[in-house]
Amino acid sequence: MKLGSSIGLRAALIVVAWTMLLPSTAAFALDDWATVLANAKKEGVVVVHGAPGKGYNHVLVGAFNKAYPDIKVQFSGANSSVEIPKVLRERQAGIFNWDVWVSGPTGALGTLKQAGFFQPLRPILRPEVTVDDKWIGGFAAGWMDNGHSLFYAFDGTAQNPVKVNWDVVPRASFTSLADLTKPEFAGKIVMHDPRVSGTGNGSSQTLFHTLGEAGLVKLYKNQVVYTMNGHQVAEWVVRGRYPIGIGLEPNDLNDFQSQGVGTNISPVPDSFFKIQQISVGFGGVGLVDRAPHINAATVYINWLLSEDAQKAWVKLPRGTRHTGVVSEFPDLMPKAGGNYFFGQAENYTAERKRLVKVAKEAIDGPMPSSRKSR
Amino acid sequence: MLDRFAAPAVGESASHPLSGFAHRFLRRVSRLIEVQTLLFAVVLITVLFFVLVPVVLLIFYGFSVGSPTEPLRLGLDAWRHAIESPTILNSVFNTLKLLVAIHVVSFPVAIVIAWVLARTDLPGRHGFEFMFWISFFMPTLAIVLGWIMCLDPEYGVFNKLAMALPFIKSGPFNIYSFSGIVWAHLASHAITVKVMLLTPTFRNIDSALEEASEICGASRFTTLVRILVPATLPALMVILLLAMIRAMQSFEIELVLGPPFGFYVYSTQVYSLIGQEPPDFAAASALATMGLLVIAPLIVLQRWVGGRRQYTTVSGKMKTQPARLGRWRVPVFLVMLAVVLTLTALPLGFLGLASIMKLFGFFDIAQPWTLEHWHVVIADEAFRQSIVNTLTLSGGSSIVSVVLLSLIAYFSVRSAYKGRALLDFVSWLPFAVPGILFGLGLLYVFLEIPFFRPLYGTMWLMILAVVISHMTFGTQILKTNMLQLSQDLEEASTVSGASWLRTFRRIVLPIIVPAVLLVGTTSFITAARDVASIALVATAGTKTLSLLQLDYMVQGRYGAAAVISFIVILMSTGLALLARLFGLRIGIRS
Repeated sequence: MKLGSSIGLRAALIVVAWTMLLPSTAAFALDDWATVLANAKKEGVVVVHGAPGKGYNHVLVGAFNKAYPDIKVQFSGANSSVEIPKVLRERQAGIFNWDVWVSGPTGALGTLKQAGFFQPLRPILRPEVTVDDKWIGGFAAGWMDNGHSLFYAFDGTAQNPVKVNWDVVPRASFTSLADLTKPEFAGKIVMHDPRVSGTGNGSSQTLFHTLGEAGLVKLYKNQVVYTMNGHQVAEWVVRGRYPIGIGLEPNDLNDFQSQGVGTNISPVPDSFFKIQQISVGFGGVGLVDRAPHINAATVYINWLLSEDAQKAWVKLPRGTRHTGVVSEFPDLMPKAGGNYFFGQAENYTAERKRLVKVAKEAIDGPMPSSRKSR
Repeated sequence: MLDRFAAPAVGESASHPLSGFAHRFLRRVSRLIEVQTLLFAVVLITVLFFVLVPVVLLIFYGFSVGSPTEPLRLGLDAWRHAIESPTILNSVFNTLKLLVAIHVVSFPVAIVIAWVLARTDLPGRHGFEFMFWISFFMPTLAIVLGWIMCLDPEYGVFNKLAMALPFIKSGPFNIYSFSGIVWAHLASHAITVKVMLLTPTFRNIDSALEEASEICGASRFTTLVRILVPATLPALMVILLLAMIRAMQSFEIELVLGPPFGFYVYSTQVYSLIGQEPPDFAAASALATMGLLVIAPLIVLQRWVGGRRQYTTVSGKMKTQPARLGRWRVPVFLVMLAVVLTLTALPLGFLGLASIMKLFGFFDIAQPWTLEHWHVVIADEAFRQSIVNTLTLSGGSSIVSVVLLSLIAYFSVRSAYKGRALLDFVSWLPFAVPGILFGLGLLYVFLEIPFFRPLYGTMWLMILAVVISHMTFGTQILKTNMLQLSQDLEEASTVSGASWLRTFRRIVLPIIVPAVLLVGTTSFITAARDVASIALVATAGTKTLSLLQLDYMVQGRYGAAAVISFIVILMSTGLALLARLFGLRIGIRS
C-alpha cells in the first residue's frame, strides 16, 4: 500500500539512514562459531515470533533458555492475523524489530515472502545441521519455498485429520472416508473452519485427495458445525456433543487425554486415505531480513534444528523430520513406505486457495463474480 | 467570562453597545486570546486528528484492491464482496433481531433497577450499585463458559438437576440457541452497563418533581414512566445508542454459542474477515464503514433529541428525598440480591473454578483441582512485566481520559463554540468502529507519519489507543450528567465573584464527581482488559495483562487465562471501591 509515498524525500532519507545503521548480514560470517556465540551473548536477546498453542512457549522459550541462558528470548505467540499486518507495516516504515519467524508455511510464504520479509537461511546454518542422514527425505526435502532457500520445515507430522469418539460412534458404522457424508452423521461432525486458511484448510486438502471436490462439497452440506477454535473442537468431541472432529489437533486432544478423559478418541485408520499429508503445523522457520540480532538469531535457528530442540518439540506432541528423535507419539511420525505429500509447500498454494473458495461456496453460497477472479 | 461558555441567550447581540464589523472583529480577537478558547481549539484539533485520520484511512482502505504486499489499487471489490456475500444479509438480520430482543428486555429492567437504586430507601442500595460495577469488570468469555457449564443441553448442571425430577425427560435449557444468546447477553453486560449509566442520572433529579406528581395523584409507576423517564430522555437516548453500538461490536458470545446452530452476526463476520490468513482488511473496513453509515444518523438523532428541550434537573433549589418502599422493602431487597448474585457471584465463582481446575467443567476426572495455573502465572517473567505495563497504561489512561474527556463533554454541552457539534459527533466515532480496525488505523498514522514514529513501541501510543477507544463511553457519561446541571448554579457562583476555574472546581466538579470517577475507573479497567484496540500497537516490551491473557488463551491455557482475569478483577475492584468511597464523599447523595 502506498500511503508511504506521501512521506517525502526527507523521510525517505531518514529511512535510508536508519537502515544503514542496522546490522547487515552481508558482513556476517559463520566461520568462527565461538565468535558468533560471543557476539550473540553481547546482543543478549533474540526476538522470535512463535507459534500459539500450549507447550510451544515451553519449547521455543524455555528449552532454548536452558541451552543458552545468556540469550533472552523476546517472544510473541500472537495470532498471525494480528502479527503479519503489523510487521508488514513496520517494515514499510523502516522499523526492523524481528529476528526469527517460527510458523506454518501458509502465511509465511503467502504473504511475508512476497514482501521480502525473509533472507536466505542456508548461509547461517552449521554443516552438522544440514547433514542429509539426519532428516527424513534428506535435508533439502524440508524447504517449503519454491526457491529452496527461505523457509524450512523441521516439523513433519503425518496428518490424519479425522478423529472419532468411539464411545459414541460404533466402529462398524464408519468404514471409509466417504461415510462422513452419510445422513446418519449429519449434525455429528465439527470441523476446524475450512473457509479460513490454516488447520481447517489443511484438513480439507487431505480429504480432497481422497474424496475429490464433489465428495468434499457433499461433506460440507452434511450439517457440519464449523469453528476456528481448536480447543472447542477438542472439547466438543470429548464431550460427545459432536463425536467426529475434523482438524482436531493432537496437542488440543492431548490436553484432555492426559487428564484421563476422551481416551477412546482416535484417528480413523490411515488406510481410509489414498494419500496423506505431512503437516508442518507451526514447525517452519525463517530468518528475518535485516534481523537486528543476527548472531543471536543464528544461534537460535541452529539450536532449533538440532536434535536436542527437536526432542523437546515432539513432546508438544508433534512429529519431526529429524531422524535422531524417537517420538513418544509414533502415530504422528510418517510411516516407512507411506504415501505422503507436503501440502503446505509453496507449490500447493494454488490448490489450497481453491479449496478455501470451494468451502466458502459450499457453505455460504456462491461468491460475487468479482471476487472469484481475485 | 462565563458567557463564553454559556449558550447565547435570545436577543443577546441586539442589546450589545457595539455592532457591525468592529464588534465582531473585537469579539473574535478577544475570544482567540482567551485561555478557554485556546483550550477548545487544542482539544478540537487533537480529537479531530487522532480520531478522524484513522477513520478516514479505514474508509479509504475499504476501497483498496489486492493483497497488502501489492502496490495500492483502488476499486469496489471489497464493497461488492461485503454487499453481495450471501452470509452478510443474514448476519445483519440476525444482528437486528438480537438487538431488539436484548434491549426490549434489558432496558425496562435496567430503568427499574436504576430507579430503585437511585430514588428509593432500599437497604444496602449503595452496596448493590457497587456490585453492578463489579459485574461490569467480569470478562464476557468467562461468563459465557460458566453459563455453558450450567445450560449445555447435554451436560449442563441446571439441565441435570431438572432431569432429576420424575416428570422431566430431557433438559429444558439450551444455551446454543437464540434465547441462550440473549440470556448470555443479559447475564453479562446488557443490564449492568445500563444500570451503571442510569443510576447517576436518576440520582441527579430533583425529588420535587416526584412529589408534585404524587400530589396530583399519580402512582409510583406512573411517576417513573411519565415524569422521570421523559426528564432523562437525552440520557436514555445516549444509553440506548451506546448499548446498541456495543451490541453490534460484541462478538465473543456469538462466536462461541452461534456456530452449533449456524447463527452468525455482523460482528462475527468482521471478526472472521480479520481472523483469516491473510486477513481481508479491505472487506472488514468496508463492513465497518457500512456500520458507521447506519450509526451516524442515530448519533445525529440523539443529538437532535437532546437539543430540543431543556433537561436540567439539578438546580440551586434541588433536593433529593428518597421514596419510601414501605412493605416492599424486603421483597425488593431479595430480588435485587438475586440479580446481583447472578451477575457477579456466579461468574466470579466460575472464574475461580476455572483457575483451580485441571480441565474447566470436568469434575469427574481423577484429581480435578490444581494450583498449577497460579504457580505458572506467578513464576512467568512476562507476568511481572505485564503488571508494571498494565499499571502504567491504566494509570496513564485514567488521568488522560478524565482530563480530556471532561473537557470534550464540557465544551460539547456548556459552550457556544461553533465547532462543538463537530467535537461531539467525532467523539462517537471510536465506539462505532471495531477496536481492532481502529487499532489498525492508529498503526497507519504512527508508522506513516515520521513525526510520530518515535512513539511507536512506547506506552504513549498505547495510552492514546485506550483513551480513544474509551472516548465515546466516557464522554457520554459526563455529558449526560452535565446536561442535567442548571446554568443558574454557575451564574450564581459568578455573580458572587468566583472565577470560571473556581466555579468549575467548587460547583460543577462536586456535582459531576461520581461521573468523573466512573470515567476514571472504567478507563482504568478498559486499559487493563482491552485487547482489540491495543493488540496492533503493542510490542513485546509493552505487553499488558490482557495481551498476556490472550496469549494464554491462544495457547489453550484457559486456567492461566482465568488467573489473569481474576487478578484484573481484584485490581479493578480495589480501585472501584476507592473511587466509590471518594465519590460518595464528595458527590450528590441521595
